[in-house]
Amino acid sequence: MIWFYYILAILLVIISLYHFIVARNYVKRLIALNILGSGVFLFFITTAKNTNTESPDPVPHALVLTGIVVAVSATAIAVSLILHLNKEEE
Amino acid sequence: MISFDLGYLIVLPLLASIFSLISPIRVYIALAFSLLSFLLSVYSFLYTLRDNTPLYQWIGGWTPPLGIGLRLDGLSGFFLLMIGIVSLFVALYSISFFNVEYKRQGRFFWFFFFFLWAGLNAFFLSEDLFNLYVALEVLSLTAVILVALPGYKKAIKASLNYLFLSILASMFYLLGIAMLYANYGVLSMSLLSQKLSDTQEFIYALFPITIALAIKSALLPFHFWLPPAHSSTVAPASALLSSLVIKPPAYLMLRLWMEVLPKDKSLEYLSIVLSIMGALAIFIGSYYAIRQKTIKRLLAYSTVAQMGYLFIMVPLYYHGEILKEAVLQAFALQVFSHALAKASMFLSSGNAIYVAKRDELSYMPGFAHSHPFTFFALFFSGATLIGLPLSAGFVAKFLFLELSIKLGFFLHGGIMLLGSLLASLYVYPIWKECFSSHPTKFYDKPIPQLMEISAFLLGFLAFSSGMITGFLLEGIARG
Repeated sequence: MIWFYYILAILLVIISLYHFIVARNYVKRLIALNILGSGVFLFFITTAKNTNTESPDPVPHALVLTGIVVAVSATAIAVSLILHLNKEEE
Repeated sequence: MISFDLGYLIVLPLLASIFSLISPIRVYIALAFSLLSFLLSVYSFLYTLRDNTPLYQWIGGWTPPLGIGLRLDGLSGFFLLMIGIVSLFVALYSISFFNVEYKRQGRFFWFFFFFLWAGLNAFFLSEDLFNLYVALEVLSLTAVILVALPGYKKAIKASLNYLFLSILASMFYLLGIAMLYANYGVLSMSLLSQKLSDTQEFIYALFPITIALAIKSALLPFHFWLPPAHSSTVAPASALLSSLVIKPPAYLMLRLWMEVLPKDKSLEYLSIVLSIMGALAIFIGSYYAIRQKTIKRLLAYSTVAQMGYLFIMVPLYYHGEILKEAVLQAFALQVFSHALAKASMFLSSGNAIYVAKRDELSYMPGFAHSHPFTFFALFFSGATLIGLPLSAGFVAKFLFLELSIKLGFFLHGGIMLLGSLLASLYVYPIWKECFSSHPTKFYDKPIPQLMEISAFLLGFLAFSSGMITGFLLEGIARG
């Protein structure tokens, strides 16, 4: 069952990486990066199960939470830059 | 010497960044806090000179894995000093710069300036791979905003591309961390180094981490974001980006190769690949630097070439265990000399653009006639980039050459000498234009004194610190 999550995470990473490289539109690339992030977070969270104990390891959860905060702030900066760029072009 | 709380090195710039955003007297706050943070950096450097053992501290008394550990040793103390010197002089320059140009941007510059300083200090003090990730993100996001600071289309496009690659790199890095944590259950570098020996799994984690660090430090196939990003923003921001922001990933690479990774056959191949990329970075970066017609793009490509030196030496980090202190010294001095020299050059390019209002090399004012301080800044920093004798750049290259001969890497030493020659080819056009006295290119417009003096002092320090390297590197020699 755990393999399902690993395969899902790897698929997400590969698909989003492909779209990040192919896309020319800034918004599309930003979305691709966010999906890439989700894939990485899913992978990280899944490793928490791997400790052969009853309860999952809390450290990956804390680290992923920090990772999400960083990803959200980066997305906010990217969106505001894209908005500025569109304003300049008008 | 009295021990102190390492957290102040991070908290002080953070406080300054908040105060400078909300207070109307932001210039005085910037000046006061820059001086304070600089003095604290100098104090921590002197502390590493006096004290033999690294200083470990757990913030708030919480021990890992929950708490955050800080470490101060000879190498990080030396880099704290470097950050302090460059930031102080960039701050002095910026006080004057934003007074005469880009007044609107000056209101926000200080916030990001101090945030960057806090991120840099945090990076060099952490020894946990995840804290390093957080510090690296603080650095990258601040750097992205500094690129977009001028607000015109070219700068925003450059900063968006930089941001996208930066997010990509950070995701790769996080992936590597996840793999390491899943296999070994620790992220502290000292604990990892004990657990890694006689295992194989770390190799898979090393690939995403290496790619992430290569993107962030603009190693050759991933260098394309750097020239537009570093050349399209205002001079003080360019100086910070090019001299300080791209160094931390290379430093992490050195720590990993010297202190964490065990000996393994496949690592030897990886070290060769990295050194080939470094060599290509020296050649291709220098080639493009020689061909540039504008001063800021020239300097940006020269940064690509100079970063190549840090990667061409990866096999030395791998094989240099017996000469560990010497390898660390050579690395530290190369980073130090490039940081000071490149900051001085970018600040001087700001002076040139202030006078000429354009950044083509052929429009550069004849500084040797009109503004001797800026001329000497360009002269000293250029000499350091090339590695002319007596300069810090010379001592760094000499140490590297000595190491590569001792360890039998003659080709690496030879490529480095060739890189020096190429550096002289791209520094020469800048010097040449300093002596041009064609009437249409001769500008007499006075430059604010603070802008000239701070650029000059940085260049002078970059050059003259070559003569006191014994003192500067003493802390690293003791380990």
